Amino acid sequence: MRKVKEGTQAVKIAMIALLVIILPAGFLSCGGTGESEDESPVLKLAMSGAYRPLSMTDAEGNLVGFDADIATEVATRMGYEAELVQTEWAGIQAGLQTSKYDLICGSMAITDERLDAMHFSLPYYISGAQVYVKQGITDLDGLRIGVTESTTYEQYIESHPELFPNAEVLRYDSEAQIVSAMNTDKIDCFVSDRIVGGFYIQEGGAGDIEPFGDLLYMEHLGIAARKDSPELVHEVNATLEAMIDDGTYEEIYMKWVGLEPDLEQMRAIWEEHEVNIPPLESES
Amino acid sequence: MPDNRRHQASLIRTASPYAFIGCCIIALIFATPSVVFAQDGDTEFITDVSGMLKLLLKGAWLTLALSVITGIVALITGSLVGIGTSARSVVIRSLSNLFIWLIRGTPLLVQLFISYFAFATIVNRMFDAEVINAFGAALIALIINTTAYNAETIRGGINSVEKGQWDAAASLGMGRNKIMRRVILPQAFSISLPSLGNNLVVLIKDTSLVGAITLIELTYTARNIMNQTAKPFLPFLLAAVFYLIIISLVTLGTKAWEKHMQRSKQAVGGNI
Repeated sequence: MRKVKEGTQAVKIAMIALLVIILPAGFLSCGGTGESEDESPVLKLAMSGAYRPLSMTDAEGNLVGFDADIATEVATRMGYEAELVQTEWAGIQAGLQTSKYDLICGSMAITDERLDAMHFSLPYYISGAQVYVKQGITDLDGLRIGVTESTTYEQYIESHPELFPNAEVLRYDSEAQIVSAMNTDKIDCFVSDRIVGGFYIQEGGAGDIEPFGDLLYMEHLGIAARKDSPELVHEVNATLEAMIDDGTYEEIYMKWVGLEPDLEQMRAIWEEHEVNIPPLESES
Repeated sequence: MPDNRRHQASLIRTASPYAFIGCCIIALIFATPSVVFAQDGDTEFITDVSGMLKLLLKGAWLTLALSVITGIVALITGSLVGIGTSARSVVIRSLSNLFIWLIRGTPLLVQLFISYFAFATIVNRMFDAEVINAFGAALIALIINTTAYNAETIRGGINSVEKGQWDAAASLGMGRNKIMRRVILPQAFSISLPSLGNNLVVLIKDTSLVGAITLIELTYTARNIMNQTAKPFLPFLLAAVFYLIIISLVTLGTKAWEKHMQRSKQAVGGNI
């Protein structure tokens, strides 16, 4: 009897000791501190990682792509260490507002609605919305359309039902899921970014798809910051300018998009967006 | 000792299917050629099953970490709350039951969002530093959730100890606390063991929800692999196998513990 008692006593002590060690370790591990190993402050940038070729994950689980490279380059030039955070697109704005990260560098289109809620940098690339259909489809009537939720594409489809008569709209988490849906015959067409669609046409991976009709509308994609950090916007703008001037921007763009960027067009569009640059006094 | 040998033999019999699956998977990982990771910042994408398994293993670590920490902590806190439901003080009883009702009545995903977007944000803003990161927020939500389910299980266990035990212990002159500690709780715990093991298994699968708050665990990793390789079936099949292995090992452990408790039951001839 005595041995059993001592045995259970030892087990109790062992469990409590284990708890005391594990619990703080659990809370502190994978921890986000403000400083990195080489003493430079950390800047966190979020992207979805499901938007090939602009934002995707590689074999190690790291975020790579155009957005990732731009984010890393911008942060490094600003004197920070870049920490890329993979977040679901539907929750990416909420994460920014609750300070889970500092910037969104995930191909977020500048819209008036979004400008009410956050600040945007000058656009870091230009693109457009395009409808893609399975090869052979000539008419948009009665199709099942895939679209990512919380995107400008979803808004466009909802506000232009006459362009998609009798359509059944299916909402997905990301373009990557849309591609899977195309491959498994769950949808007949989708609306997305022309760079993304072009990538899938070139790489295969989404079956035989082709663009349908002209670009629906142009999009200017910017880096988003909270309303309480206008100084970040100014720093990002200055960094983007420098990157365009010394050719780094063109390098990154060619690497992931495979085409030369139209820098003239970008500079012209930048002038339109000057009015959106926030003043340096921070608003709360 | 014929009894012992039978006991050991039956454990081995139950162990072999799990061991077999485990060995197959380990062989798979080491048999297929590895993905070579190039230097100089060249991006490597997954090209074969072994690449998938490597990345899934990374995600599995996070799943394991969340499950183990939550499992251990929630066992203790769940027991405390469960005991609280049969406390003498009305306040403690009501609070315990209120807690169980609230947490069991709301979905874990909602609790995760509240923990991550509301609670963690408020605390971080109060201290102007990242006190609670995504991992911490997930732990908080998972621990609170599993505590409530464990508490309800233990409450059921306490209630199913026969009234005779209370009367017999009281007639021996034991005070209420002593009765609880020495007579009722050991029996209640033994009765609750299968259900507690069940809660643990459910917890391990619940960790798949934390992908919604930026934690890249097993299921979310499988999604990333699907995005990378355009294969919708294989990554999830592999992830399911990982979950199966983890849960099988855990089930083996709890079944062994139950058998151990059963042995003392046969020896003593009571409900222990």
